[in-house]
Amino acid sequence: MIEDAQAKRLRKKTYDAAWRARNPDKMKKYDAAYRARNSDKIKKARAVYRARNPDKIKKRRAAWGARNPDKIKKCKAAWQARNPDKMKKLRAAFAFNLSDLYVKQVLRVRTTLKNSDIPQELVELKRAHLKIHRKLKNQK
Amino acid sequence: MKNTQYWMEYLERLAAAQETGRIKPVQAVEMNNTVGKAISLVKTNLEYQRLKQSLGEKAAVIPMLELEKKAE
Repeated sequence: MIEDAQAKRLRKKTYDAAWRARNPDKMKKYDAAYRARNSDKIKKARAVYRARNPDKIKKRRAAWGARNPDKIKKCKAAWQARNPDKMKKLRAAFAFNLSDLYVKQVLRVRTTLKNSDIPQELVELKRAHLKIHRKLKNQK
Repeated sequence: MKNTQYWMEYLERLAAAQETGRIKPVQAVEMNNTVGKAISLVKTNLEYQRLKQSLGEKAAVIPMLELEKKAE
């Protein structure tokens, strides 16, 4: 009896797999409908998985980023174009706090240097120079 | 050319002197400008190194070619 049930289950499984392979369009529609019906359930399950496996997610993201640098660049540019006000605020904050990026930008003006060419030591020096410059400017 | 560490200490001394009022604001500006010039020199040096690296062996040939052109 047990063997019969197992054989029956196996037969059904192979039949289902074959049917799925024969009808990819129908499966696509079925999957889409399932996802639409259970979007909350899927979202929750994904959130739980992400919370349980942060390292895996981090690794996967880093690997994807390494494979798709152009997509990331495009995505960043699109976000910046969509959010000019946020970018303005961010740039102002960078300048106010004398962030590494801002200081490097100042150092790069009228040179052929790239950010990667500028050593951290020089950035620190320029930051201290700009701090004193601002202080003296306010005293005048 | 003095290294960046030297200029960092120079700025620290300048900031301390300026806070205690041992130097006039005009003097402080002049001293700060000196550091600015030193930074500019370091930048020029970095640019030169970068150019030399990118040109490789050609770097030594270019001045010679220019001299030849001038002679013609």
